[in-house]
Amino acid sequence: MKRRVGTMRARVVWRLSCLSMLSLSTLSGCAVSPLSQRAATFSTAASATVVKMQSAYQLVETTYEEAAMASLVNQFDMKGFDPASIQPFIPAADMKARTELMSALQQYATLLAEVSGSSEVTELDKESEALGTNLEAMAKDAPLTALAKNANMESGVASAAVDALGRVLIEKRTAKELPSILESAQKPIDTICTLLGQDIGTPEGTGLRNELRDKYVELIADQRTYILANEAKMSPDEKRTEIGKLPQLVTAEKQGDATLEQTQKALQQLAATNDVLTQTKKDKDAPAFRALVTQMVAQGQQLGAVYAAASAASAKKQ
Amino acid sequence: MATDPAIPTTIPTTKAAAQALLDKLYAANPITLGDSEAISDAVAEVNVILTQLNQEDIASRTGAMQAVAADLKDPVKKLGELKDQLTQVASRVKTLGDIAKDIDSVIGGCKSVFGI
Repeated sequence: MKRRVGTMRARVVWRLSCLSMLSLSTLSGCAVSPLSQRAATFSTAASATVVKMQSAYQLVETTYEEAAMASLVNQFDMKGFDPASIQPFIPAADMKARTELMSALQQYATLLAEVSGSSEVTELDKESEALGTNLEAMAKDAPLTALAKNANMESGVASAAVDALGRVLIEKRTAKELPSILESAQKPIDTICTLLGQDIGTPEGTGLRNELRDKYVELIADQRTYILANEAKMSPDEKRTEIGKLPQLVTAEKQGDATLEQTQKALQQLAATNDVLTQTKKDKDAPAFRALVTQMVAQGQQLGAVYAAASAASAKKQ
Repeated sequence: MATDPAIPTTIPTTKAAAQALLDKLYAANPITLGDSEAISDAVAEVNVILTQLNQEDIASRTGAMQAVAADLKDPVKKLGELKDQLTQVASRVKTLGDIAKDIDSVIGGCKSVFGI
């Protein structure tokens, strides 16, 4: 009985050490798959683009309000103020549809980031670290030191081996399920980018950029009228300040249009990134990565067998 | 030197004509209050037309946006399901951690057996 237990324990330690050494040698430079990397890249870009698009709508609404305010100031004496005249540029129903669309895109991006190897892998790392601590404490146990030395067991490698197992499992599941999801989302994402880009439009044509430009024409005209209507009542400094607002309005219009144009380009880039991401599933994984995954799967299976044996031995003793 | 643009008596209703008029008004440089007020009023009236055309353009895409948001629901649902599956993988590692504690108890038992 004593000899059987001692032999079993030595076998467990020996297998763990060999397995761990193999895992350690292959873990250096281990990275997530191309699919996971590109999914994470797309997710980050999508989230950033949603924020830019929300800002784009807000920019034009704010400018629209400012133009209404400037006109009200100049015409108040003759026309008074009608509260009903205060309306947003984009009616509520149209804006609601856009808000819900951007929310859906954001939700998709958030979930894609979560399955592309962030939160689950972090949790896995925590669990495997706790496991590794248990194993390392076992390795430091004085009576086992000689056995561990003979088996060349290094501290920390068991933790790394379990971590590798978990990462492989996650990557395999992701590689199996994610491509079909990406494919089903490809056309909707492309359509979303097209529709939002059309909303932004062009300065000479229609859309947010044209509305922004036209409202600044109104703001400049009203500011000029305001100066001429009130200059007799202004001090030199006040007049200077008001005149100074004219070139500032010209600059603000250019900056605003540049921002909208950048957002439009971000949408085009997002659509391109989405197409590359969906294409990834059709490309073969890098051969080196495929070999690494195969090796780590085999090691993971060995590790599973070792732990199963240890668990069975523990149960038998009790 | 200020220009005195001819302020139109009627505002065009087509996009191209209205936009061209707005550009012309923008280029004007009135230096008298009367001219500036006339320009401001004309700009406001042209902009009513142009803003309405932009609003119609934006509204023309609202239906398509609602439709495509609905198309995205299924991929989002499947991503949520995949996330749940991956969470289960991480919890299985915790089970391995429990087994490792069993190894500790085995070793502890062996120590007492061997009198270590």
